Amino acid sequence: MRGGADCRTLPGARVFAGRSTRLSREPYLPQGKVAIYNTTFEKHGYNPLPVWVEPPESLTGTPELKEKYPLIFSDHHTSKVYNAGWLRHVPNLREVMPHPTVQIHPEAAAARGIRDGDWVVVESPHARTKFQAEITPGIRPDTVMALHGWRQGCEELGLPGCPLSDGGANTNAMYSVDFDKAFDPVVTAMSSQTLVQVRKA
Amino acid sequence: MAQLGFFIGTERCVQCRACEVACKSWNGIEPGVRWRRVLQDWGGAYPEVADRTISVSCMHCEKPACAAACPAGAISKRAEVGVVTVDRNKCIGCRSCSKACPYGVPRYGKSGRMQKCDLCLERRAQGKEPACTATCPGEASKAGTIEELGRMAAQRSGARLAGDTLPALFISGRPAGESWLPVIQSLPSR
Repeated sequence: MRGGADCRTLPGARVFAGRSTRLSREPYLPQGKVAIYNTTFEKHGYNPLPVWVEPPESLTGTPELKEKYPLIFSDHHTSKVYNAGWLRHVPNLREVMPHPTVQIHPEAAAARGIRDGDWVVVESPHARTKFQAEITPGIRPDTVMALHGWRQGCEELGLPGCPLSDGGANTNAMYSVDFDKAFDPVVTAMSSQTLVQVRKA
Repeated sequence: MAQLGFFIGTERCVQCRACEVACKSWNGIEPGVRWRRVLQDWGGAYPEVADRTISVSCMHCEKPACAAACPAGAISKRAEVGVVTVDRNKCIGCRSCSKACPYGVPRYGKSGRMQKCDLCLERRAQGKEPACTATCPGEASKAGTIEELGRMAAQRSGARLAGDTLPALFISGRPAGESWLPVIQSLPSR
Protein backbone atom coordinates (compact mmCIF):
# COMPACT_ATOMS: atom_id res chain seq x y z
CA MET A 1 0.00 0.00 0.00
CA ARG A 2 1.61 3.22 -1.12
CA GLY A 3 0.98 6.74 0.11
CA GLY A 4 -1.63 5.55 2.60
CA ALA A 5 -4.17 4.53 -0.07
CA ASP A 6 -6.74 1.85 0.76
CA CYS A 7 -5.48 -1.19 -1.14
CA ARG A 8 -9.07 -2.32 -1.80
CA THR A 9 -9.55 0.72 -4.06
CA LEU A 10 -6.43 0.10 -6.16
CA PRO A 11 -6.94 -0.96 -9.79
CA GLY A 12 -7.23 -4.70 -10.13
CA ALA A 13 -7.86 -5.25 -6.42
CA ARG A 14 -10.26 -8.07 -5.48
CA VAL A 15 -11.90 -8.49 -2.14
CA PHE A 16 -12.67 -12.07 -1.27
CA ALA A 17 -16.08 -12.12 0.36
CA GLY A 18 -16.42 -15.87 0.60
CA ARG A 19 -15.40 -17.67 3.77
CA SER A 20 -13.51 -20.93 3.87
CA THR A 21 -15.63 -23.84 5.08
CA ARG A 22 -12.78 -24.66 7.45
CA LEU A 23 -13.60 -21.54 9.41
CA SER A 24 -16.96 -22.89 10.52
CA ARG A 25 -15.49 -26.08 11.99
CA GLU A 26 -13.49 -26.73 15.14
CA PRO A 27 -11.26 -25.17 16.41
CA TYR A 28 -13.00 -22.18 14.88
CA LEU A 29 -16.13 -20.65 16.34
CA PRO A 30 -19.07 -19.92 14.01
CA GLN A 31 -17.98 -16.29 13.67
CA GLY A 32 -14.55 -17.44 12.39
CA LYS A 33 -12.58 -16.76 15.55
CA VAL A 34 -10.16 -19.26 17.00
CA ALA A 35 -11.36 -21.07 20.09
CA ILE A 36 -8.58 -21.27 22.63
CA TYR A 37 -10.48 -23.84 24.71
CA ASN A 38 -9.51 -27.03 22.89
CA THR A 39 -12.13 -29.73 23.34
CA THR A 40 -9.97 -32.33 21.55
CA PHE A 41 -7.17 -31.82 24.09
CA GLU A 42 -9.73 -32.10 26.88
CA LYS A 43 -11.12 -35.35 25.48
CA HIS A 44 -7.63 -36.87 25.54
CA GLY A 45 -6.82 -35.77 29.06
CA TYR A 46 -4.69 -32.69 28.31
CA ASN A 47 -5.29 -29.20 29.60
CA PRO A 48 -7.81 -27.59 27.21
CA LEU A 49 -6.40 -24.10 27.78
CA PRO A 50 -2.94 -22.77 26.92
CA VAL A 51 -0.73 -22.86 30.01
CA TRP A 52 2.65 -21.37 30.70
CA VAL A 53 5.36 -23.69 31.99
CA GLU A 54 8.91 -22.86 33.03
CA PRO A 55 11.49 -23.67 30.35
CA PRO A 56 14.05 -26.29 31.41
CA GLU A 57 16.42 -23.50 32.48
CA SER A 58 15.37 -19.99 33.46
CA LEU A 59 16.28 -17.25 35.93
CA THR A 60 13.16 -17.98 38.02
CA GLY A 61 12.84 -21.76 37.52
CA THR A 62 16.47 -22.74 38.08
CA PRO A 63 17.97 -19.95 40.23
CA GLU A 64 20.82 -22.30 41.20
CA LEU A 65 22.22 -21.90 37.66
CA LYS A 66 22.08 -18.11 37.79
CA GLU A 67 25.57 -17.60 39.16
CA LYS A 68 27.27 -19.63 36.44
CA TYR A 69 24.82 -18.78 33.65
CA PRO A 70 23.30 -15.34 34.36
CA LEU A 71 21.83 -14.50 30.95
CA ILE A 72 18.74 -15.79 29.16
CA PHE A 73 19.51 -17.21 25.70
CA SER A 74 17.20 -17.85 22.77
CA ASP A 75 17.57 -17.85 19.01
CA HIS A 76 15.71 -16.23 16.14
CA HIS A 77 15.20 -17.57 12.65
CA THR A 78 14.83 -14.51 10.46
CA SER A 79 17.42 -11.86 9.76
CA LYS A 80 18.15 -8.93 7.51
CA VAL A 81 19.21 -11.13 4.63
CA TYR A 82 18.73 -14.82 5.32
CA ASN A 83 15.72 -17.11 5.40
CA ALA A 84 16.02 -19.62 8.25
CA GLY A 85 19.11 -21.84 8.10
CA TRP A 86 20.29 -21.32 4.54
CA LEU A 87 21.43 -18.76 1.90
CA ARG A 88 24.75 -18.28 3.71
CA HIS A 89 26.50 -19.47 0.56
CA VAL A 90 25.25 -16.49 -1.53
CA PRO A 91 28.12 -13.98 -1.55
CA ASN A 92 25.99 -10.87 -2.08
CA LEU A 93 24.02 -11.75 1.04
CA ARG A 94 26.87 -13.11 3.12
CA GLU A 95 28.74 -9.81 2.77
CA VAL A 96 25.93 -7.99 4.53
CA MET A 97 26.16 -10.38 7.49
CA PRO A 98 29.37 -12.38 7.18
CA HIS A 99 29.61 -13.95 10.64
CA PRO A 100 27.19 -15.47 13.15
CA THR A 101 26.30 -12.78 15.67
CA VAL A 102 24.88 -12.74 19.18
CA GLN A 103 22.92 -9.67 20.18
CA ILE A 104 23.86 -8.32 23.59
CA HIS A 105 22.81 -5.19 25.50
CA PRO A 106 25.56 -2.52 25.92
CA GLU A 107 25.50 -2.89 29.75
CA ALA A 108 25.80 -6.68 29.66
CA ALA A 109 28.64 -6.33 27.15
CA ALA A 110 30.49 -3.63 29.10
CA ALA A 111 30.33 -5.73 32.29
CA ARG A 112 32.22 -8.44 30.39
CA GLY A 113 34.67 -6.17 28.58
CA ILE A 114 33.04 -7.01 25.26
CA ARG A 115 33.07 -4.53 22.39
CA ASP A 116 31.05 -4.52 19.19
CA GLY A 117 32.42 -7.08 16.77
CA ASP A 118 34.42 -9.04 19.36
CA TRP A 119 34.27 -12.83 19.07
CA VAL A 120 32.60 -14.26 22.16
CA VAL A 121 32.01 -17.69 23.63
CA VAL A 122 28.40 -18.33 24.62
CA GLU A 123 28.13 -21.26 27.01
CA SER A 124 24.99 -22.99 28.28
CA PRO A 125 24.79 -26.07 30.55
CA HIS A 126 24.61 -28.12 27.32
CA ALA A 127 27.01 -26.65 24.77
CA ARG A 128 29.48 -23.96 23.90
CA THR A 129 29.15 -21.77 20.79
CA LYS A 130 31.10 -18.91 19.25
CA PHE A 131 29.57 -15.72 17.87
CA GLN A 132 30.53 -12.16 17.05
CA ALA A 133 29.04 -9.73 19.57
CA GLU A 134 26.53 -7.27 18.12
CA ILE A 135 25.96 -4.52 20.68
CA THR A 136 22.19 -4.04 20.59
CA PRO A 137 20.54 -1.35 22.75
CA GLY A 138 17.15 -2.81 21.79
CA ILE A 139 17.54 -6.11 23.64
CA ARG A 140 16.73 -6.78 27.31
CA PRO A 141 19.87 -6.35 29.43
CA ASP A 142 19.41 -9.86 30.92
CA THR A 143 18.96 -11.58 27.55
CA VAL A 144 21.12 -12.46 24.56
CA MET A 145 19.87 -13.78 21.24
CA ALA A 146 21.56 -15.35 18.25
CA LEU A 147 20.53 -16.14 14.71
CA HIS A 148 20.33 -19.87 14.07
CA GLY A 149 21.48 -21.83 11.03
CA TRP A 150 25.13 -21.27 10.17
CA ARG A 151 26.05 -24.60 8.59
CA GLN A 152 26.90 -23.24 5.12
CA GLY A 153 30.20 -21.71 4.13
CA CYS A 154 30.71 -19.20 1.32
CA GLU A 155 33.36 -20.25 -1.15
CA GLU A 156 33.58 -16.90 -2.99
CA LEU A 157 34.30 -15.00 0.21
CA GLY A 158 36.49 -17.73 1.70
CA LEU A 159 34.21 -18.08 4.73
CA PRO A 160 33.80 -21.53 6.24
CA GLY A 161 30.61 -23.11 7.53
CA CYS A 162 30.36 -23.41 11.30
CA PRO A 163 30.74 -26.79 12.98
CA LEU A 164 27.53 -28.21 14.42
CA SER A 165 29.07 -29.42 17.67
CA ASP A 166 30.90 -27.53 20.44
CA GLY A 167 32.56 -24.33 19.33
CA GLY A 168 30.39 -23.70 16.26
CA ALA A 169 27.30 -21.54 16.02
CA ASN A 170 24.64 -24.25 16.30
CA THR A 171 22.04 -22.74 18.61
CA ASN A 172 20.07 -26.01 18.78
CA ALA A 173 22.92 -27.61 20.70
CA MET A 174 22.50 -25.03 23.47
CA TYR A 175 19.16 -26.33 24.75
CA SER A 176 18.01 -29.07 27.07
CA VAL A 177 16.59 -32.18 25.41
CA ASP A 178 15.10 -33.50 28.64
CA PHE A 179 12.01 -35.32 27.41
CA ASP A 180 9.80 -34.25 30.31
CA LYS A 181 10.91 -30.62 30.52
CA ALA A 182 11.94 -29.49 27.06
CA PHE A 183 9.07 -30.68 24.87
CA ASP A 184 5.40 -29.89 24.65
CA PRO A 185 3.60 -33.23 25.12
CA VAL A 186 1.04 -32.59 22.38
CA VAL A 187 2.83 -30.83 19.54
CA THR A 188 6.39 -31.84 20.60
CA ALA A 189 7.65 -28.29 20.02
CA MET A 190 10.93 -27.71 21.82
CA SER A 191 11.55 -24.97 24.31
CA SER A 192 14.23 -22.82 22.66
CA GLN A 193 15.38 -21.12 25.83
CA THR A 194 18.22 -21.64 28.25
CA LEU A 195 20.67 -19.76 30.45
CA VAL A 196 24.18 -18.84 29.32
CA GLN A 197 27.34 -17.05 30.25
CA VAL A 198 29.08 -14.90 27.63
CA ARG A 199 32.80 -14.15 27.64
CA LYS A 200 35.38 -12.86 25.21
CA ALA A 201 36.79 -15.62 23.02
CA MET B 1 25.13 22.19 -14.60
CA ALA B 2 22.94 19.76 -12.74
CA GLN B 3 24.08 18.19 -9.52
CA LEU B 4 22.62 14.75 -8.78
CA GLY B 5 22.64 12.99 -5.44
CA PHE B 6 20.71 10.75 -3.07
CA PHE B 7 17.98 11.22 -0.49
CA ILE B 8 17.44 8.73 2.34
CA GLY B 9 14.11 8.75 4.20
CA THR B 10 15.27 6.97 7.36
CA GLU B 11 11.72 6.56 8.73
CA ARG B 12 10.72 4.54 5.67
CA CYS B 13 13.72 2.20 5.74
CA VAL B 14 12.71 -1.35 6.73
CA GLN B 15 16.36 -2.41 7.06
CA CYS B 16 16.15 -5.10 4.37
CA ARG B 17 19.52 -4.27 2.73
CA ALA B 18 17.99 -4.78 -0.71
CA CYS B 19 19.77 -1.57 -1.87
CA GLU B 20 23.15 -3.10 -1.02
CA VAL B 21 22.34 -6.32 -2.82
CA ALA B 22 20.76 -4.59 -5.86
CA CYS B 23 23.86 -2.38 -6.18
CA LYS B 24 26.14 -5.40 -6.13
CA SER B 25 23.97 -7.40 -8.47
CA TRP B 26 23.41 -4.69 -11.11
CA ASN B 27 27.00 -3.50 -11.15
CA GLY B 28 28.43 -7.02 -11.00
CA ILE B 29 30.68 -6.09 -8.08
CA GLU B 30 33.22 -8.72 -7.10
CA PRO B 31 32.84 -10.65 -3.82
CA GLY B 32 34.22 -8.77 -0.83
CA VAL B 33 33.55 -5.26 -2.17
CA ARG B 34 30.48 -3.16 -1.38
CA TRP B 35 29.79 0.23 -2.97
CA ARG B 36 26.68 0.79 -0.87
CA ARG B 37 26.41 0.06 2.83
CA VAL B 38 23.58 0.34 5.33
CA LEU B 39 24.63 1.96 8.60
CA GLN B 40 22.72 1.47 11.82
CA ASP B 41 22.19 4.14 14.47
CA TRP B 42 20.62 3.34 17.86
CA GLY B 43 19.11 6.00 20.09
CA GLY B 44 17.50 5.98 23.54
CA ALA B 45 17.79 3.38 26.28
CA TYR B 46 15.99 0.04 26.65
CA PRO B 47 13.02 -0.35 26.43
CA GLU B 48 12.46 3.10 24.89
CA VAL B 49 14.81 2.69 21.94
CA ALA B 50 14.84 3.93 18.38
CA ASP B 51 16.79 2.23 15.64
CA ARG B 52 17.47 4.12 12.41
CA THR B 53 19.42 3.11 9.39
CA ILE B 54 20.91 5.09 6.56
CA SER B 55 22.06 3.68 3.28
CA VAL B 56 25.22 5.35 2.03
CA SER B 57 27.44 5.13 -1.01
CA CYS B 58 29.41 7.84 -2.84
CA MET B 59 28.21 11.32 -1.85
CA HIS B 60 29.02 12.75 -5.33
CA CYS B 61 30.42 15.88 -3.65
CA GLU B 62 30.30 19.26 -5.35
CA LYS B 63 33.96 19.64 -4.35
CA PRO B 64 35.24 16.05 -4.40
CA ALA B 65 38.35 15.70 -2.21
CA CYS B 66 39.14 12.38 -3.89
CA ALA B 67 39.46 13.97 -7.33
CA ALA B 68 41.66 16.74 -5.95
CA ALA B 69 43.95 14.15 -4.32
CA CYS B 70 44.27 11.80 -7.29
CA PRO B 71 47.74 12.11 -8.86
CA ALA B 72 46.74 10.15 -11.95
CA GLY B 73 43.72 12.19 -12.96
CA ALA B 74 41.57 9.07 -12.76
CA ILE B 75 38.70 10.68 -10.86
CA SER B 76 36.52 13.21 -12.60
CA LYS B 77 33.38 15.15 -11.95
CA ARG B 78 30.90 14.81 -14.79
CA ALA B 79 29.88 18.41 -15.53
CA GLU B 80 26.50 17.55 -17.07
CA VAL B 81 25.23 15.53 -14.05
CA GLY B 82 27.66 16.34 -11.24
CA VAL B 83 28.42 12.67 -10.68
CA VAL B 84 31.93 11.72 -9.55
CA THR B 85 33.32 8.86 -11.63
CA VAL B 86 36.55 6.90 -11.67
CA ASP B 87 38.43 5.65 -14.72
CA ARG B 88 39.83 2.33 -13.52
CA ASN B 89 42.27 2.18 -16.44
CA LYS B 90 43.93 5.40 -15.28
CA CYS B 91 43.93 4.49 -11.56
CA ILE B 92 47.40 3.58 -10.24
CA GLY B 93 46.10 2.12 -6.95
CA CYS B 94 47.90 4.59 -4.66
CA ARG B 95 44.83 5.01 -2.42
CA SER B 96 45.31 8.78 -2.06
CA CYS B 97 41.55 9.07 -2.65
CA SER B 98 40.84 6.82 0.32
CA LYS B 99 42.85 9.11 2.60
CA ALA B 100 41.17 12.21 1.18
CA CYS B 101 37.52 11.05 1.25
CA PRO B 102 35.89 12.01 4.59
CA TYR B 103 33.17 9.35 4.16
CA GLY B 104 35.18 6.17 3.56
CA VAL B 105 33.76 5.70 0.07
CA PRO B 106 36.63 4.45 -2.18
CA ARG B 107 36.84 0.65 -2.44
CA TYR B 108 39.60 -1.56 -3.81
CA GLY B 109 39.06 -5.08 -5.04
CA LYS B 110 41.49 -7.72 -6.24
CA SER B 111 42.88 -5.40 -8.93
CA GLY B 112 43.83 -2.78 -6.31
CA ARG B 113 42.22 -0.06 -8.40
CA MET B 114 39.61 2.26 -6.96
CA GLN B 115 35.94 1.52 -7.57
CA LYS B 116 32.74 3.12 -6.29
CA CYS B 117 29.16 4.17 -7.03
CA ASP B 118 28.62 6.12 -10.28
CA LEU B 119 24.92 6.69 -9.55
CA CYS B 120 24.18 4.05 -12.22
CA LEU B 121 24.89 6.45 -15.10
CA GLU B 122 24.40 3.59 -17.54
CA ARG B 123 20.84 3.05 -16.26
CA ARG B 124 20.23 6.81 -16.29
CA ALA B 125 21.09 6.88 -19.98
CA GLN B 126 18.24 4.38 -20.44
CA GLY B 127 15.85 6.57 -18.46
CA LYS B 128 16.00 4.36 -15.36
CA GLU B 129 16.74 5.30 -11.76
CA PRO B 130 19.73 3.74 -9.95
CA ALA B 131 19.45 0.05 -9.01
CA CYS B 132 19.44 0.82 -5.28
CA THR B 133 16.55 3.30 -5.31
CA ALA B 134 14.63 1.28 -7.92
CA THR B 135 14.65 -1.79 -5.68
CA CYS B 136 13.84 -0.06 -2.36
CA PRO B 137 10.51 -1.62 -1.26
CA GLY B 138 9.81 1.16 1.26
CA GLU B 139 10.64 3.86 -1.29
CA ALA B 140 13.01 5.21 1.35
CA SER B 141 15.80 6.19 -1.00
CA LYS B 142 15.63 8.48 -4.01
CA ALA B 143 18.03 9.86 -6.55
CA GLY B 144 17.58 13.27 -8.13
CA THR B 145 18.90 16.79 -8.47
CA ILE B 146 19.92 18.55 -5.27
CA GLU B 147 16.98 20.91 -5.71
CA GLU B 148 14.50 17.97 -5.78
CA LEU B 149 16.28 16.24 -2.92
CA GLY B 150 16.34 19.45 -0.87
CA ARG B 151 12.55 19.70 -1.18
CA MET B 152 12.11 16.04 -0.14
CA ALA B 153 14.35 16.57 2.89
CA ALA B 154 12.56 19.80 3.90
CA GLN B 155 9.17 18.03 3.78
CA ARG B 156 10.43 15.35 6.13
CA SER B 157 12.34 17.47 8.70
CA GLY B 158 15.63 16.61 7.11
CA ALA B 159 18.67 18.34 5.74
CA ARG B 160 21.64 17.99 3.50
CA LEU B 161 24.64 16.25 5.01
CA ALA B 162 27.06 18.95 6.13
CA GLY B 163 30.67 18.83 4.99
CA ASP B 164 33.44 20.89 3.40
CA THR B 165 33.23 18.86 0.19
CA LEU B 166 29.49 19.66 -0.17
CA PRO B 167 28.26 16.06 -0.26
CA ALA B 168 25.07 15.51 -2.29
CA LEU B 169 23.34 13.37 0.35
CA PHE B 170 20.08 14.42 1.98
CA ILE B 171 18.70 12.65 5.04
CA SER B 172 15.27 12.93 6.63
CA GLY B 173 14.42 13.26 10.29
CA ARG B 174 17.35 15.25 11.59
CA PRO B 175 17.58 19.04 11.40
CA ALA B 176 20.53 20.76 9.76
CA GLY B 177 22.00 21.72 13.15
CA GLU B 178 22.57 18.06 14.07
CA SER B 179 24.81 16.74 11.37
CA TRP B 180 24.87 13.09 10.45
CA LEU B 181 28.55 13.41 9.56
CA PRO B 182 30.05 12.18 12.86
CA VAL B 183 27.37 9.49 12.93
CA ILE B 184 28.25 8.31 9.43
CA GLN B 185 31.92 8.28 10.28
CA SER B 186 31.45 6.21 13.44
CA LEU B 187 28.64 3.78 12.59
CA PRO B 188 29.21 0.09 12.10
CA SER B 189 27.87 -1.15 8.81
CA ARG B 190 25.56 -4.09 9.21
